[in-house]
Amino acid sequence: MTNKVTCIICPKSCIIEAKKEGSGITLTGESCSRGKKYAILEITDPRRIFTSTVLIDGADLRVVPVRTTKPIKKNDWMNAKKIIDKLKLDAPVEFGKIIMSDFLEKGIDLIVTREIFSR
Amino acid sequence: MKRNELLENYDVAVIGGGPAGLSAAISARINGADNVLIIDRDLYLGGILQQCIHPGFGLKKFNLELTGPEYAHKFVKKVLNSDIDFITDAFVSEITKNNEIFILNSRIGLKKITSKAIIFAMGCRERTRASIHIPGYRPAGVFTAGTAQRLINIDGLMVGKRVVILGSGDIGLIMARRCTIEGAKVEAVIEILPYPSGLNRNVQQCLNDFGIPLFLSHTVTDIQGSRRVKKIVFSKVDIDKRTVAGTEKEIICDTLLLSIGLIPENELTKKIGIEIDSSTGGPVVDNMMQTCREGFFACGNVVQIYDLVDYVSNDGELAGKNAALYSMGKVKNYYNSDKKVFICKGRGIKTVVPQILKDYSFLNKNKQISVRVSDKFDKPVFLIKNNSGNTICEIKKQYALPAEMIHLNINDDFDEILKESTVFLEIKE
Repeated sequence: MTNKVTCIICPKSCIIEAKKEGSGITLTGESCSRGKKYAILEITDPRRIFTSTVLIDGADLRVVPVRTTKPIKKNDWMNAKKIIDKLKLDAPVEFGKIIMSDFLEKGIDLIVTREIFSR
Repeated sequence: MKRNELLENYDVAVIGGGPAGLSAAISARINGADNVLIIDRDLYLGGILQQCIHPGFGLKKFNLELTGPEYAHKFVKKVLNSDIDFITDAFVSEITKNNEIFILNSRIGLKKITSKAIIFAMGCRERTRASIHIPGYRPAGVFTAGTAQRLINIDGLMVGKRVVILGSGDIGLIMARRCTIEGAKVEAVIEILPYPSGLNRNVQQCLNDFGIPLFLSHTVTDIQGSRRVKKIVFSKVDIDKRTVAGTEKEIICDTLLLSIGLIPENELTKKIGIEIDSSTGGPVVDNMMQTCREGFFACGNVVQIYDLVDYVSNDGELAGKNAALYSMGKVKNYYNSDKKVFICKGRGIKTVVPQILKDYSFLNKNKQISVRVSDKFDKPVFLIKNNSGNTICEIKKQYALPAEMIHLNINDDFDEILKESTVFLEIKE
């Protein structure tokens, strides 16, 4: 089975063909080692950094931006959104604060990506 | 965000507190300007980065994949920990040729300050429905993609339930994914060109990942609905971008987002008669990021639309440093220097910045020019020729795409180029 993978590592956006043969995977079209790693991961365990916003009280802003510290499974994005929709923070919030540890998976945290002052 | 009362006179004043302005102000202070001021119209510093909550920033500059607010934080923190003055929620209504700046703010009213050097860092704004004359009704529910991004990511307000996006630029693609995550159904992304105008990696991670259809060589030809958008009509276009009759299709939706290009915001620049390059939409600058008016500098998206914020920060550093040196009188007579080379655009070249090269070698070593090509080229060879058609400089690249800015290093041939009054930049046939 052959899979076409558009590499998302850099703006060059290489199209990498990955062929599954037995337990091995052969690649063609990649132009760097990072692309190679990405293509293999993309057909075995596709993942993305998840970003969204969470509600906050007591600030000039209604929401704060958040991200996962590591990429989560692509299929988990909607679950991730359901979980964070139930959260509400209170200002002030310091930059990089962990608001949930082991978010969906062990070793992946959900953090705030902006410093929020009190109103 | 508050700082002390403003001074009457500054060494360097920066108009705009986005990535270009922040890095210009920091660089001006580091390079010896004592009194530096940043003026921004938003409540907080950081500019548009604060609404770009997705990752992908800082790969070139920090070798990290940061979100917009994380990238901004690195610079905002530096300003907060320094003695750089700033005023937010403030609007610059006018700048005069005598270096006066008029600032409007609800706390201080109308205030006039002066500054020895002034840096334009106002960034850009989006093209709107009026820019491309989309026919139809004028109901609520038509937004530019960036406005929708701000409403969702800063104000916490959702824009609609069924969304169509016109334009496949990177902002449009990012917003297709963002609207989907926020629970909307993105019915389609429609692009007039035969290829996506954003990067392929964004087509992959923002559209393909979520099964959002992309219609190439199509455009929106009608908007229907009296109070709120009810449906849009879109049609096929031919190679000259004319709509093809009989190819109309309808999509029921309540929202139309427009991602149809950016325009450098240069009202203040134009008002004092600074020359604008019609191909970039920004002021003509030299390799010191100085405009054609002495003591007035420009950096970032106000000069040209960049692909990456990393380059905007580099631009700011350069403008900030040179504005500081200018304000200290260290470069008093350079402006009238006779050595001035104009770069003309030849085959395959859409834009080039800087447009003018001068001999600033005693000050710094910016001998890089940024170029946008008009077409797709495989293994292009960039040539710089003199007036008599002789090649001075030859630079090879692996590939060139209109969507991606190219940086040419002219360090080795800089002295040769300076001997000319005009050079021609083109791609070898």
